[in-house]
Amino acid sequence: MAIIVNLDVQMAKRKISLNDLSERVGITPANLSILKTGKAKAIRFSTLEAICKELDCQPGDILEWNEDVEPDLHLHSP
Amino acid sequence: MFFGKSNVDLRRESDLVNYEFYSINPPMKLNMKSGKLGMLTVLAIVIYAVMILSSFISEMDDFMLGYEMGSNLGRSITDSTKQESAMKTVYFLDLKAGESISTFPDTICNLKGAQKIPIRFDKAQILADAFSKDDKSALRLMKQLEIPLSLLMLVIVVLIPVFFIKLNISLKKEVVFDKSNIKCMRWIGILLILYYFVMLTVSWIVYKTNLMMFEFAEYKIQFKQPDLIWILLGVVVLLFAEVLYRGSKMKDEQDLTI
Repeated sequence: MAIIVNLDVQMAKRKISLNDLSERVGITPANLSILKTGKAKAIRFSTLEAICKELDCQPGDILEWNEDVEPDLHLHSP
Repeated sequence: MFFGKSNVDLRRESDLVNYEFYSINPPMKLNMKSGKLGMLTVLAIVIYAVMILSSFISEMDDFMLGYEMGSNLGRSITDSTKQESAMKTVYFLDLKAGESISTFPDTICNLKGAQKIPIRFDKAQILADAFSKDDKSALRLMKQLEIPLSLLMLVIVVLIPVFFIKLNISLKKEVVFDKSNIKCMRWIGILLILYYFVMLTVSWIVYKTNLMMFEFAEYKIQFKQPDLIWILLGVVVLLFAEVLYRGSKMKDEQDLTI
């Protein structure tokens, strides 16, 4: 995917574990792991809001677009 | 309280969170849905069994006739006097009377009116010479092809309910948009279409062999087309399989929405 998730960077800066963050945000550790590893297909604004609130950062700190990475064309396939 | 937040709107959480909630507190309507599904499954299997059984019963006379011919042939192996008459077989023909739809070439006696009335036949069973073992003609080879094709039809008739039951077991476990379910549905659809084409091939072989064997003055031998409902059912099932496939893709996307 061309969108890169830098959640692990922000988590390391705040020194917070996956389990702690998932508990505070209100999603399961499995889902947070899917997001962290870049396997997620979409993210809800409510989830992004909760993560930014807990990590005290901007959405741009977590999400990054990189033109060199292959886009996920499967999203647009019928 | 859930994950330490009492004011969290559960509806805005991921599907996995909702699943955990429902697994602890299953709503009543899930049980009602599985009862409905079970009822529909049983109904479908019963209708299928009745359909197969009724077609078997309607052909029972033909089956018994064939069985009798076969056992006569078997008994005649030791008795040479009966061999000639036993080397006959029954041919099943579909007929059409003459050129015009108003042609009634035969007559039959009506006992209620004590008079002969015109009649025309659309089916016939003819006792004629069977093919000998030494006969290598195309006719005999075509007739021999009927046996494996008929066995293939029997296998298909057995396989369709097997896949159907497998699909329903999966649905009962609340697993809907799954690759194995899509595979089952596709197999059912393909088998239904295949069943039609195998029936068509057998009908064509029977038609061609009858044409080679017989010719009548008042009747024309007809080609008996199998019911098109089989191919329609197959196509509809394949369509549903495609819908299920699209659903599974949407589910995968939904599952990966955090």
